[in-house]
Amino acid sequence: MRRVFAERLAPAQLGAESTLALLDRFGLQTLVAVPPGAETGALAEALVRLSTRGAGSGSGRC
Amino acid sequence: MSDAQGYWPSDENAEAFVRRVQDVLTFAAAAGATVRTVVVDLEPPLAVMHKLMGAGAEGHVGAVLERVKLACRTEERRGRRSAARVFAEMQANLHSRGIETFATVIPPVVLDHPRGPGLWQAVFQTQVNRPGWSKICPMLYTSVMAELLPAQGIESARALAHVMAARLLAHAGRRSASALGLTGTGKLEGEPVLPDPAALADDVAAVRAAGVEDLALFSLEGVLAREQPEAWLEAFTRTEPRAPPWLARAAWRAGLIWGQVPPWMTRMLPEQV
Repeated sequence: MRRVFAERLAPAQLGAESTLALLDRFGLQTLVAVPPGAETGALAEALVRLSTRGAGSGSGRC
Repeated sequence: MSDAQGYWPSDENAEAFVRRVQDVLTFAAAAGATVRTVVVDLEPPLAVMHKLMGAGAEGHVGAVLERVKLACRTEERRGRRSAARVFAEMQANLHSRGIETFATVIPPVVLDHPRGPGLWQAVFQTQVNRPGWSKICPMLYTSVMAELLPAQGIESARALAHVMAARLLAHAGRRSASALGLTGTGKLEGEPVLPDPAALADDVAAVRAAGVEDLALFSLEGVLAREQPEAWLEAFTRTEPRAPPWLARAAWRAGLIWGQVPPWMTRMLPEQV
């Protein structure tokens, strides 16, 4: 199992096709930090994109 | 959590953290995202971490000794008991919903006996043994360890990472994981980072040689900001196991005996007061 933390990555970059392709290529589960105030539409969209991809499924980190 | 709340979950803010987890799960569900894992990044409160990490070698020891004194006080012991219960309830709740918990921890807590009241868990205000987390993941960041410990550079830190991973595996078995890096700075912002993908490959090789195969890399933003992100991920995902030199491993095994306080010596620290 290989995972990668995303603690301070901008939602737009997190959900970008180039990022998702990289995560898929290396089979990485992404562990996304969600600090207070980060619950935006952009993050929601990125999490959905992550969780609908194979190995790059979204997961929570608070 | 917010900086004022301590940023990371610890004995000081367990109830606030559980509420925060519920809020995030609700947010994710409303968005339509599936959460498979909740990371519980167990570290001392932010103010304590600043003291531990930023005080230099002499101040670092002083900060740890100050925490040892505080951990013995009745108020902290009560707080520890309460936090253990709160985290255990959260773990049980998430487990019943099919959600994995992934507890990242600072390396010294691996030295605690797996069934006893842990000295290092108490000192660093973290709950590792009691909640029954799905995975336990010490942060074996060689770039940081090389700077903090009286080690002979990153090669010695790598041998220490191997020994700590082996000790974790002996106690936690299939629940063992390890975090590696750093590829970029974190919350404290001044953390030293690995120089190149080859250094990360050496870390992966050392920890895999100890038998730990569940690895987490800090961080994605660090990888994307470096030249050749693919080379970093190649090193992280495709490096074969290779143990550090025997002499370096043996030196750390002997040295760490001093950190392994037996349970009968930590009766003043139990979560169950």
